[in-house]
Amino acid sequence: MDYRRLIWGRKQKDNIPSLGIEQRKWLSRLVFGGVILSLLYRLMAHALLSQLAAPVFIYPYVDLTYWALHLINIPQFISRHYGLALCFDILLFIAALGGFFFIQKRVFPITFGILYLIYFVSYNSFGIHHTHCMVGVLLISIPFWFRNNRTFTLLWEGLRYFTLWIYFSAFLWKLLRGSLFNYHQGLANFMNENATHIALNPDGWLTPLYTFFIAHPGLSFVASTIAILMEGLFFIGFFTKKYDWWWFVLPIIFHTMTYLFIHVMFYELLILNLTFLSVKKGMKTGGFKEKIEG
Amino acid sequence: MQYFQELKAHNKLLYRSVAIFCGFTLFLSLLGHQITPFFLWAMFSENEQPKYEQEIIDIKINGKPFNYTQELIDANRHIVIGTLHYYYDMKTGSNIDPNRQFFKDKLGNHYKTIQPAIERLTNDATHYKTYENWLHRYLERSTHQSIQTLEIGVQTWQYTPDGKLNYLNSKPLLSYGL
Repeated sequence: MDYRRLIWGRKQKDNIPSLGIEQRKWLSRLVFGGVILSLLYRLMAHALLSQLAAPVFIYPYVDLTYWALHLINIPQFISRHYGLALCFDILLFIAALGGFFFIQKRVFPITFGILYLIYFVSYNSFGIHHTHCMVGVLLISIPFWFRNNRTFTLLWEGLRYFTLWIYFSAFLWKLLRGSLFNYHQGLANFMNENATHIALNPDGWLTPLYTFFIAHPGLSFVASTIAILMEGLFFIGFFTKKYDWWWFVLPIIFHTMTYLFIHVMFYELLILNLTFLSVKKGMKTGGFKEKIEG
Repeated sequence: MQYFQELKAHNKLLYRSVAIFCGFTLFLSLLGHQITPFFLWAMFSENEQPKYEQEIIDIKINGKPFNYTQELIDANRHIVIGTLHYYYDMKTGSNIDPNRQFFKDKLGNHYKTIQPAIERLTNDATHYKTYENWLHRYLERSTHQSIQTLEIGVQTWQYTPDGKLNYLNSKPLLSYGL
């Protein structure tokens, strides 16, 4: 049996084998399933554009993409017109659902990508903080914009490298700025990020954990160093795919730690973990329309 | 490198686009500047020292304390607390958007050249005044309750060596319906 054909759908001469149409379908379901979960979370949190009640403040800061969108008044105009904002949110959901159900139609991922960029900029600007937790959802639809499966494969592979870069560059920043070696870094993070929680929940179940780490700066330093070194490990992923399963699991552990310890909620970024998944198992060739329509 | 070779072999335009993306990401990272989609991943990398005094936002809805760490979800707590901190910064800075001040300081004499654009990209006294109404409206929607009064203050707390917090004082920040 030609296993390469079974696994990848066609014989390969490239070092990066092209993903077959079935694998693309499988990935599309996973990606847009994740996207729909993220949108449902935002719906529940009253964080979609129509739910923001026409926010007042904007914060484009020094990001030129934010400047461009704000100078042509897009975030402000949409959010100030409830009907328009509602249509925008509905379209966002339709685009995500279309990406999930109709993977042959590229119009859904493309529409989703454009709408989500507007949402991303608007939410971050109205929230006065350019949060990075939505970056995964922002970028993950891009490979699905392209008809050619080889292009799709190479962009998907590119996203895998981008995900490695996220964690590794986060490590580099801490290494080069010296915070990796700062004995007080962990303690300062515990104190700054947990003050509100401790003050408002003196009897909360996590409060004793925070007070323990604040009372033991050495352990705070160890916890902080472990988290930073975990980010550094992603460097290995640039050279081998042997440990991709680890790169899938490690961010889940990492973001759970940061959520529990310092209230940084980055679970939406985990959508990029899908780039580490092996899509070899359970794939069938044929039986699916080979052509991706425009 | 193998990845770029395969990109080049497959499609030159795609290769150039990905190379430009990587180049810009690296270049802007070196400058410490972020332009979407060339992101910087520098969170929590600045050297921090322990701050024993901490300021926290205190919210009372209809006269009762509102525990926003439990009543709000991260995505909307981010909006409420983020804007309140900004409102606080504006209030302590004579109602001037800290960003506008930042550009004035940074650009010096050149500020006047792009002043009209900066004024459209920052907040002014009008925004500042209407913020209270917006906050009231958004909290009503987020908490699913009618809000007659809203009191917001900034409390100062101090850490003790055993990691607990002692309340020091509070100052009013904003009130609605009082």
